[in-house]
Amino acid sequence: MSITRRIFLKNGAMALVATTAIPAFLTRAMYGIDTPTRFGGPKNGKRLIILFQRGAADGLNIVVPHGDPHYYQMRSSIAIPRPSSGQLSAIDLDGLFGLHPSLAPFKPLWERKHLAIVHAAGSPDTTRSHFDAQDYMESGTPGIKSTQDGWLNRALVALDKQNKIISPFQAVALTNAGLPRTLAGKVPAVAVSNLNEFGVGGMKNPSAAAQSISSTFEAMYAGSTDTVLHGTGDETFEAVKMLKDANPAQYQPAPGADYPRGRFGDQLKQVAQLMKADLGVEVAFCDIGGWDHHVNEGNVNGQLANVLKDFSGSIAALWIDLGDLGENTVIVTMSEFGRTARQNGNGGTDHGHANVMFVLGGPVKGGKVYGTWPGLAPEQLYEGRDLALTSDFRRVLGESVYRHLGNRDLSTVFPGFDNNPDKFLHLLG
Amino acid sequence: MHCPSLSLRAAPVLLITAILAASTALTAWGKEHSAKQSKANAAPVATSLDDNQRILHALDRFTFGPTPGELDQVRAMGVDKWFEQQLHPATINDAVADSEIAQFRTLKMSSKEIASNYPTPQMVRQIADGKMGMPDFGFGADSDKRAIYQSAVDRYRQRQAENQANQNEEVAARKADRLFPADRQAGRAEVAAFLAKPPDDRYKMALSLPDGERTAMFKSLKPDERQQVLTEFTPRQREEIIALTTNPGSVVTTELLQAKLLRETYSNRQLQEVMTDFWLNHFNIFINKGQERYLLTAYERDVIRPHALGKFKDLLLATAHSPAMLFYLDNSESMGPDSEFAQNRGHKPQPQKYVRRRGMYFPRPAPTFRQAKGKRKLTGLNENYAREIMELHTLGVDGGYTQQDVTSLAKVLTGWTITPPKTGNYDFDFRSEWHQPGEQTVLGKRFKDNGEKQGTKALEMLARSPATAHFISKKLAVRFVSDNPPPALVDRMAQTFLHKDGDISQVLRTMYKSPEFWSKDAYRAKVKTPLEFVVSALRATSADVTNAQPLAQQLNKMGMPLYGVQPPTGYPMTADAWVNSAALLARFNFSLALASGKIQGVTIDSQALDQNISSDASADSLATLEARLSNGELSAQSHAVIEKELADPSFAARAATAANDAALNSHFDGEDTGEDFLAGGAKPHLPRPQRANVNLPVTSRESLAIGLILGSPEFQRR
Repeated sequence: MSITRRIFLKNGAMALVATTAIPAFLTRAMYGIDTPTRFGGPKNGKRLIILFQRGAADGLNIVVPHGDPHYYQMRSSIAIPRPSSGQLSAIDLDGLFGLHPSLAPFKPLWERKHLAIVHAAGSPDTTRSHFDAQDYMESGTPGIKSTQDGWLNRALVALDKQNKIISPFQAVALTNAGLPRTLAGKVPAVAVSNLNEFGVGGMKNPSAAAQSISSTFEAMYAGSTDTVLHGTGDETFEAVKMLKDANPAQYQPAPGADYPRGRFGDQLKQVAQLMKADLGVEVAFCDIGGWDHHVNEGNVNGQLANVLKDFSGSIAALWIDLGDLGENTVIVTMSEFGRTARQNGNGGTDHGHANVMFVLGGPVKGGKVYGTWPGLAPEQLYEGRDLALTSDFRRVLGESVYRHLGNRDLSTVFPGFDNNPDKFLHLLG
Repeated sequence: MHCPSLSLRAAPVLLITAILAASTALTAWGKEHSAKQSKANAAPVATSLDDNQRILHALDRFTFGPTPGELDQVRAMGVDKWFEQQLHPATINDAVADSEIAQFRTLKMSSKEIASNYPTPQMVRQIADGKMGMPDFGFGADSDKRAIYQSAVDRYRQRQAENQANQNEEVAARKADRLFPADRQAGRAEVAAFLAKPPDDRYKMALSLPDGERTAMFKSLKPDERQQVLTEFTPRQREEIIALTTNPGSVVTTELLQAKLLRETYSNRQLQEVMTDFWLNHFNIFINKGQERYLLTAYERDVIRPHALGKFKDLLLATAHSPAMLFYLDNSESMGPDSEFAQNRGHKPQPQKYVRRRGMYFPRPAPTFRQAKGKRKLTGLNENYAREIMELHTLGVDGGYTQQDVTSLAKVLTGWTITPPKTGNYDFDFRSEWHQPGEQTVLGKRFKDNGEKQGTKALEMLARSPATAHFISKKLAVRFVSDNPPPALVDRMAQTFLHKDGDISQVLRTMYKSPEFWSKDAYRAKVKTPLEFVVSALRATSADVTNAQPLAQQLNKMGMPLYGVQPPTGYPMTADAWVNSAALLARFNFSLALASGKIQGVTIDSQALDQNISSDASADSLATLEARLSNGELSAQSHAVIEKELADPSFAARAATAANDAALNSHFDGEDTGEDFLAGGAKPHLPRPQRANVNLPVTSRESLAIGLILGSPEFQRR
């Protein structure tokens, strides 16, 4: 990618003339290089979106190892049938793996090589506690509880030195539960649950009086000696002003971007809104719950199938909605751990170990399952019960930070982890 | 309708006292400073807080926020004595809160009664599908109950019919058309006619409509219209209309949530309510998992509150015996792999399989069972509850337990379940035939198999563990002292926990008597959670709540839905989780909406609060209001900013313009009465339209000042 960028920097003027010969997204990227964005976002317009599946998604039923005979032996009632025509079954990818049928919206992304998969990935920590495992993945330091900030915030700290103008929307979380651990840290980050309520008196046509009251609150917080509230107040009012200018109430998703109804779809739609409004978003975080299926997980239909429809439909809609911006966007999904290879006595699965990660985006060399498949034979299982881990999640995130966001200081982002670029999976072009 | 007759919300004597207290508060302040702790109730340990700060600190930590005049009450009583009294809630008269709660019938019902009066979706489905008959309603005694069942079954059948029709795309398309715009406008005319009636007539009209039309009518109301209609009904009417037009279970939910907010606002047993909230969060249960909404009323009432200030061991055992917890963390499904039930299914036990690793053979874990037709499903061991007991309820995640301990405790607890669904009883049930036979070792200690008692013994051991003592003490200190409580304080509390058999009151007393609790570092050190913020605002403003449901919705917006945490961790109690831009904006909007009467079902006693704030807003009267709402903790900076805003000569003109800006409050849940929260300056003493029994004027300067104070940085702390 860096080579391409240099070429465009050099040949910028010429490329401008020859716009018809270049795909639209490349001219757009070039503009991004030459002209600082409206709100001083990163000049190269690189964006990273992290989607967290909270509750330990069952990776083995999401990207199904239908070519591994042991899979069907361990999942008598919840297995996804081998790819076949007619009935609901796995959507074959490469003879070994297939997508859960609820992930049908991912198939075209795979075929166009925008979507890559890393299987048997995750955190090496052995905990099977949701809380701890999420905490470790969000802090980026498995096994170390004392880490105060999140890896994605640290990824931006080093970038700060390179880009002087920082948008308050540089780091955003669209969640209902406040700022996630992933984004906690020195770099200011905004947590929003609904953009239309982001303002004093609402965003829709706030009156002059409401704006006056807003300024009064602003003055109170700006003058406060309370460091915690003072800082958050500053960030809040700056963000309000920028968002007001961008007028989110008028937002219409791109044609074909049909976000499923629900919290996750709403979140992703608002991420697209913010990015398309050119507010300088560099990293975004969303999460989706409902994966902890100890009981009656279902197979091609059922609880997991329903969550997956929401998951894949929302991500596919986001991708369509981003349009040209997708070319400079990388989307990574993660979940705290996988689930037991064998189904339990309740038609569900219990807390396991390795999982699957999706990586989607313009710079992604997709259409391939990355990583080593450890196998599901009894002796291949981790602790005799779970999918073994072959790709550390920090390897995948590290490559995104290093090659995509351009932060070379991975020892700060993922301290204590040998993240030498030679060891990357090379899933970004 | 609510009858304002008692205590905080209404007792005239108290209000007058409060007003007097407030107006003298500032002068009293000075006197206290010079008096330098000459009072008899001086600190048991050296402290840098003065007497007023001590009282405010105690109120900030052991209540949901001080009410006007409460500082003086505590000063008169002596803060130590007041704290001791709070540790003994039974000695405190709580008639006010009780009378608030009396309107909610479900709060007195057992889970069985609740489920029987407000049928679960499963029951409705079974009746509609003919698998179960209508219950025997008796003679005339409870015609409501019959109507609720009939209405729920009818709605279910209608939905089924619609679902079938929807499979035909053409029909679905036509239906979508019908929802917009022509038919919808016709419907709006009917709605307008309905809304024009007085509340009693609305109720009669609603009852007289056929089920389908009644439901359609309420569905076509806009959210704020619906909330307004419900608010203006009597509690009994409201309950019935909700039951008839929505899922009957939502009556149970709304009463549960409202009762929680009302108790926290009005109860005189404040510490008991603070601790009830603390333990509900510690032993978290998610209301939207399955049938939890039918179990939580009994859980809060019978399991948590009675033990909130008692022994931790009793609390742990009570939760472990509660259907709500056993269902939430799946223990009700857990069966011993070698239990009698598993053995007698006619299936041979699976031959022991081994896993070969590094040349050695290990037994294969967790055998699975097949389901037998038509009988109770044979399930396996479920470790979920056992793990959360150790990680979240007792030892803490660093408490030194292993996966083997989790598995062993899970086996110990097999058979701890709920009475079979067909009985409709929702009681604890120990089913010995599900229990895993044999001795188990947990944390190095052996527990012989004596049925249910094996579990009781193991839980008692966990409740008494030093790791538990430390974990619980630290969590209490984070709630009551600071986000990073001094380790020495936590250790001292943990020692009391161990020596006093987990007596929670004793642990709190040790904390209260520690210098760290009274240090400057702890004073105003906690940022309020959204729940603490909302309730403290209601208390500070002497709010009159006739319908608390809109308040529960405000908490959803602030990211803290009541009973709404899905993972068993509960909500964090540290500032970092709650201080962020969106949450801050939600607090500003709530403050302004509350101050200007824009939150449905909530009125603040503006007469008492605003007495001294006239349109010329002199500095003195603003100071009085500040003293009442923030007990003098508003900073000079905040005071100056508010004063400037109120004194701005262009204010009146801007406010008049804003009066016509209806969009301003479009996102509030409140009704749009045409009375913008800024409009009062132009139209003082405007009685509120469309609302009975509300005659207190709210002028713009008063509500604006109140809104700004509630939204100030200082009010976000306790």
